Amino acid sequence: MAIYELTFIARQEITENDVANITKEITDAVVAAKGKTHKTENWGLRDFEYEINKAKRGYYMHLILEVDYAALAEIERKMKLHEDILRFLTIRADEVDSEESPILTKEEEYNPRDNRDNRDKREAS
Amino acid sequence: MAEAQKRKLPMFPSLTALVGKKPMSFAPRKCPLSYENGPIVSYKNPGFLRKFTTERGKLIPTRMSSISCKNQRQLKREIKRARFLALMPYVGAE
Repeated sequence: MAIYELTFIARQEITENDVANITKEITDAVVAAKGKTHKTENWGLRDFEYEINKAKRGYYMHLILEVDYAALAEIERKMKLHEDILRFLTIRADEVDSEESPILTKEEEYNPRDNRDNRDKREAS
Repeated sequence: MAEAQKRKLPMFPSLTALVGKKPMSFAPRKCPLSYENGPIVSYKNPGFLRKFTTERGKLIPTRMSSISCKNQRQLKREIKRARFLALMPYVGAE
């Protein structure tokens, strides 16, 4: 058993319920393989930085799973065939990151042009 | 021939003598990421990773950011993961 971080992007056209159903399918498959789901995180509807298959935004879902590779490979195969999933990324992790992802807590709009022009104004006010 | 050998090479004044002060010395800059409880370098933190790319979305080289080799490798890996998930641009807006 190893720990994996799984992030997938679902199409914008489907509803939140559909996203929850897709997530449930994955977690059910994990349970069937005697694995564990350590974390389920909904990153919500986000704008893409570039278009993926003409889509401009999508639902992000982030899971931390503890499964055998064989079961994960089967999950990945099904995700590839799933019409509503635009893209997914699985990463082997050494340990479970139990804290909330910084994408949810520390979201800061970073604009490089902002630095010099507005810093002085902000400090002055 | 003997005369040519005798002729001494011209002496150049040292830089200190020319400028009147010692040339500036540069202390090597420390890695801005290597400190205790440092920032989370992860694809889950794209807002932070953006500070290490140019406006166009290119990685900033170590020689400009003075980030340690280890951290630069980690940054590179995490930025590429964030790009794949469309959290960061491959090519940013002009």
